[in-house]
Amino acid sequence: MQHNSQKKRFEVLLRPHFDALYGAARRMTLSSVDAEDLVQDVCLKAFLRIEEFERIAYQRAWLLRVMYNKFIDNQRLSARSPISQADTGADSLDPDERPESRWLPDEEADRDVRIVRILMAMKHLNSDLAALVALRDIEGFSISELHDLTGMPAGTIKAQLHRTRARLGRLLANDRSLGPNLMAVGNNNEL
Amino acid sequence: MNCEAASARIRALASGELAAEERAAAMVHIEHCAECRSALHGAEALNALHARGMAQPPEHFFNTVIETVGRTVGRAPDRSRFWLGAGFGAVAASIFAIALFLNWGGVAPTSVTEQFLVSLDEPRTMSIAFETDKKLSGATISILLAGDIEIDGYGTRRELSWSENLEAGVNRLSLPIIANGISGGQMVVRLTHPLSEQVFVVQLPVES
Repeated sequence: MQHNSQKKRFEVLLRPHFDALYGAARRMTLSSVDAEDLVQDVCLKAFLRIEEFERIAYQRAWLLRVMYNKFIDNQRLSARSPISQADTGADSLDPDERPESRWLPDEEADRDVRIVRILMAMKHLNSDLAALVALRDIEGFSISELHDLTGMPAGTIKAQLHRTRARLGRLLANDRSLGPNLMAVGNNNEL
Repeated sequence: MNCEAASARIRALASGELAAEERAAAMVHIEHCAECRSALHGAEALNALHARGMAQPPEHFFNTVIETVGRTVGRAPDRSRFWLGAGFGAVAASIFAIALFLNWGGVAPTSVTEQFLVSLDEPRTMSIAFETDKKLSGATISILLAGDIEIDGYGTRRELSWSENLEAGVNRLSLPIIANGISGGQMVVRLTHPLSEQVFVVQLPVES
């Protein structure tokens, strides 16, 4: 009974922010499936901390900060998963599970490559700083709102935003830091 | 113009919202300042993500999320879907193993609660076996920690997530768990895939 009450409270709390949360997740992922996974993980975390979530003044910013943190963590951790195969069956590629290839117009393909490069670069950022700069530059939160959310002085926030943007810019200017798969398709002058 | 003034204008510069005169003044500084030039590149990249627009969630996704988080935390234990291998036992000295038989064909996800004793003195390895009868591409395994516990080597991280291609057969995930307080904690493990979903909760009391 108490659980149902919590679920109802959570539903009411989450509803006003859900579209913004999904929209943000979709921006940062390359597929709707990944976006849905990301949103579910964030919502699960919020639900488990519902008492804290209810008391937060800036619930949307809090949810988005959790989402960006999680996105960076996921990006980073996917490269060092501890999963091991204890016993495997056939290991050949299943033709039914190969990703569909699709031809894109040049402009669209270039844009997609650019987005992939940016997302790859972001995983090299400190996740808290990446979340901060994403809340400001992607989601449009003001310095004052970020101050209320983080408790950091405005001057510190501005300095961290500048340094994080610069770090991201340097990462993008140096394709080698983004992994071998992107070296062939990147264009250093593109940005 | 100095770095502070240029930095205050970089967002507007990246999104093309700065007036021509201000833009020209900012660019004079940026051309000679490597740090601000990099910051402008970074701001342009973030602006490109902003410009991807605001996609709407799929219909019913909100309800799906509410149901899923509700199930994850609140569902009564359902042991019938677990396989506890004879070699493992429910709680062995330091090895704990759970096998999940994945459901195919739209069967509702399950949530199971188990218990694993942790220690303040040393990490204990919890092994989780994911068993599937066919290859499972693009599965996501998420772990959420609450309370006075840590995964050894991950510090205070409360969430871990991996995208995996699980092979047919048994895929084992080994996690060294250690307590950092006497209250113990809880771990939620979720395996999601477009064809299946499994969730289980492990209570982690501290050995007295």
